[in-house]
Amino acid sequence: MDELLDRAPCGFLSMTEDGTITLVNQTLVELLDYKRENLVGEHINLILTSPSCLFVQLYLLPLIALEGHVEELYITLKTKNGGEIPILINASKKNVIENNNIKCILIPIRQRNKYENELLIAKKDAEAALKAKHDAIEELRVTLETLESQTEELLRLNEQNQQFKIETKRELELARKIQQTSLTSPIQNKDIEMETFYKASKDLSGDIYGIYQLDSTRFGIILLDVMGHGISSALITMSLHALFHRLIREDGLTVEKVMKGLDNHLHELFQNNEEARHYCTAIFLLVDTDKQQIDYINAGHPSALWQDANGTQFELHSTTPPLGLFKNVRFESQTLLYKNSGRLLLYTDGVDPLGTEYLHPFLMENASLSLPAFKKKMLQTLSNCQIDNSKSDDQCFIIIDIK
Amino acid sequence: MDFKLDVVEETGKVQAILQGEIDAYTAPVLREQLDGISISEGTQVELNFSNVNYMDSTGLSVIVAFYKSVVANGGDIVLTCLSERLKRLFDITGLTDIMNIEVRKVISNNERI
Repeated sequence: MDELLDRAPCGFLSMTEDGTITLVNQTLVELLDYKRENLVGEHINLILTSPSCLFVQLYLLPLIALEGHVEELYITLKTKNGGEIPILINASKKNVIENNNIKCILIPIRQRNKYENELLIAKKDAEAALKAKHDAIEELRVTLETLESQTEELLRLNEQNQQFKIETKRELELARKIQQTSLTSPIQNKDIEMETFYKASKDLSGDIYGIYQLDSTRFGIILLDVMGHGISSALITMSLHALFHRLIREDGLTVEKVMKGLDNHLHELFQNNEEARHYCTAIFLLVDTDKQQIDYINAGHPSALWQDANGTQFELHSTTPPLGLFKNVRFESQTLLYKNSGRLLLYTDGVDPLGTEYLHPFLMENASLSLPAFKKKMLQTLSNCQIDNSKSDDQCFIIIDIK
Repeated sequence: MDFKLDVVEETGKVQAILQGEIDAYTAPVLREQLDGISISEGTQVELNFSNVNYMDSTGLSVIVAFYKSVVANGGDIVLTCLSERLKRLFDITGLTDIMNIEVRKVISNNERI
């Protein structure tokens, strides 16, 4: 064999038409780890894997017999030690120099297989990445759709809320008007004169008052402050208002009866619900301008102040606990007899930040002011009083001049 | 608005230390926590107000409800360390005459070291 062919960088073998090896180059001998003499004379099946044996017998050899050559067929060689070497084989029995033997060139493609495998893996990875990308895009699309749908829902809810807010505001405004309409008008006559102020910290107030002329010389004045403020307190004020409106007009009216009636009402209202229990502070005055006498009960309410024409002051302080807190409270009226004309100041604890210690001298220093001027000055003083908004309370006061 | 209640329970004694502001927002929390304190015959309860800087009428109603519950169960209750401002709330409502209340102890200059 030519030296060049013997050491060519590919395998070479020659075999008879039935597959008997007649010639093999050194490159192939080394590749298969045989000795040359172990291969020459042997059938090619010796160096083929089982599937390749079948392939060669059933396809390669018949094709060569028919066509005279084959190109780039893929088979697997088997080494002496059983190792497998993938190769591409070109075989031909044309251009025969010596005889009818088949000449084969065998090129190992281990590296190519490796590259192809890597390419396959890379392709799979790329496909997986592409799929992940498509999945992510799909997920994003779904998320976007959800987001759009949620945005629409939020806009719809927001619109509903706005509508609800507008309706609630309208309802509260109406309720505020109803509550304010329920307030009785101040009485102005030759014996008595009044000014009132009523302001809710929110839309509705937990304060309520009532002023009644019972006959030509007797007047009933009540001021209540239900705990808390806002809608819940306002509901209770209206229920109490309806009750004292009736109680004050009953025959045999006494201060005790009115306060006991209001106290009983609150206990009945919350007898089965301690958690919802609301109490209220209240002061009720029965003024008799003929007898020059004020009968009163103060139930846990800030002290009312009386100042006569001589500047003598008197505090109508609390004599019983607030209404609705303790059962079986004994209500006993107190009496203030006055000789001279004077001014009464009743107020709820929303006005109390000024404090009785402030209101005493305030009443004294402004005794000469007319009632409207006195009210104006009180309001100025209140507006100057810095009260934390979150702690602001309903405000109500009644100023009464008894002549 | 922050509010906290620390309860120390020993045999026959309960000390509840209130801290923060007691108003319409925190009063329900206080009510729930006070409801969790078990009171039996003779239990001495102290409600310590030393760290309470504000209380409104809603808070007052919770305290009174707890007071009634302690008394109904045969216990004794004392409200301690009230600031002058808080004490005034109880004074105005006439509750000072009904409940056992101790004002915040202020150390006079002579007593300071």
